[in-house]
Order: sequence, then C-alpha cells, then structure tokens
Amino acid sequence: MTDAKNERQIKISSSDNEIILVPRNVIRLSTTINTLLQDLGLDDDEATNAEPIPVQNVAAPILRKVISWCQYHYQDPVPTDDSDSREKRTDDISSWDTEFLKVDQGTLFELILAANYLDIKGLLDVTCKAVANMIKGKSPEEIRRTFNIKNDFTPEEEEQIRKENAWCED
Amino acid sequence: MAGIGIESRVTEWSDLPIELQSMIVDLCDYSTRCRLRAASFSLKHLADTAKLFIPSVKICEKRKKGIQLTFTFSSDAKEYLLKYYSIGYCQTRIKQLGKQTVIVDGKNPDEVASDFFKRCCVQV
Repeated sequence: MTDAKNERQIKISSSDNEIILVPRNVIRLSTTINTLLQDLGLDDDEATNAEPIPVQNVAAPILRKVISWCQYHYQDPVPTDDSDSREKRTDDISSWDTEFLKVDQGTLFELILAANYLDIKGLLDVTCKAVANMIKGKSPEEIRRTFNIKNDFTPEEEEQIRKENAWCED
Repeated sequence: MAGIGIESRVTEWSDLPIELQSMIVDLCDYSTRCRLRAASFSLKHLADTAKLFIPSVKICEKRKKGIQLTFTFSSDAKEYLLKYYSIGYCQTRIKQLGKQTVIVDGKNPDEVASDFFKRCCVQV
C-alpha cells in the first residue's frame, strides 16, 4: 500500500453528525460517494470540500470501520464481474478480512447495510459471505436462535418440510 | 442504524432488506438452504427462489426399479443418489443410501421426482 495520507481529503459526515476526513483514493471504493462527487463537480476541485458529503444512513462507528476496510483494500485490483460464475464460494475470505469481521452480529449487519448504501461491492461481498458462513452447518432451530427468527410453521407444515428435506439431512 | 453500541437496539437479520437477505442465501450451499427453508416462511420463500448452480444431473427411469436421480451441487462436492419406487397406487418410497426411507402419499414416483427437481430448477 502507498501512503494515502498526503492525498486529497474528502469530508464526509455520519448520521450522528461526526465529520470524518478520508483520502479521495480510499473513498473511491464507494460508488455512491464517487458518483456524488462527480455529479456535484467536486471531483475537479483540488481542495477539500467545505461542506461535508452527508452519509445519512451510517453512524460514525460503522463509517470509521467501513473506511478502515477501504483503507486496506483501496489498491486491490478491480474485481471482474462474476455474474457468470455461478458456483459461489464462501471459503475465500482473506485473513485480514477474517480479523476485520470478528465483530458482534449487530455490527456485521450494520456493515452489510453500510456497504450496500455506499455501494462498496468488495465489502458487501465479504460481509455477506461471513453471514453465509455463520448459517452453514446449523440446524433450523439453531438458525432461528442465532438470527432471532420466529418459527411460524404449523406442526403439519414442519412435518411436510422435514419430509422434503430428509434426503439432504446429515 | 444502531452501530457498535451507540444505540440500544441491535440490528438483526430481519432489518436487512429482502435483496440483501437473498444475496446471502445465494451464497449458501443446497443443504444449508434446505435447513433455512425449514426455519420460517420467509426463509423458505428466500431459499426456494434463490438461484442455484447445479453442474450435473442425471435422471434415469428403470422398468420396475422406479426413477433414479443423480446430481451434485458443486463440481467438487459429493454426488447424491435418490431412488423413487412405486409402492402402490399413488404412493412413493424415496430411498437414499444411509438415510431413512421417506414415504410420499398421493403421488407417483415420476411426480415426486419431478417435484423435487422442479424445486431445484425453479431456482436456476
């Protein structure tokens, strides 16, 4: 990684009105902010924007975490469009990301919502993979307990689904 | 959003929009999806409508031996073999090595096998 600190800084503000400075090249990973800067003509400006870009849906602690992810990943090669790659993997999370994602479940969901709002594909991919890995290997009851999901099946419906699923149960 | 303990309410699975929940289910393998669909109605719907990659499937109809379905969900994963036998009028027995036999009432082997396969294929 090169030092991003000497580059142009962009001022953004969180939903709880904290103003955060972030290097232009780092925040480039957010398509939402990138497009906004270009549309507002702020991308041509050499100086730091006087009025911060509001990130209304993301609170400061999550926004700082998102920025730290971008700071580590902003020089990664642009991922190729994998829409044709139909076999999806979840076991390819890097060790840095694994450490980064050692957070409580609420924070993980916050990161997913923030990555989606800010349109940061890499972060969205890796956070969704982390949740998919949390689901893997759990029984229906464990899934309900883990994610606070109500069982809204009747006993008859449960029995029917149990029959449908019998072939793939371990 | 709540965010690292600054508000009291913790963000949960149910706070994610359907598109994001669906993106996560898309990443789950088929046996995980089967368990998801048994957890709740909304998860059943998500699992039943998520895209699924099936690299190989073989359907074989054998006289007196019923229908044999062989398939895999990942190129490096195990192969499943399900056998559907008729055990009387509109009654089917599903057999799989090492698993408990399942009896399905009201359907012939071809209907049960195609129902199963439709459940997989509707997701592709």
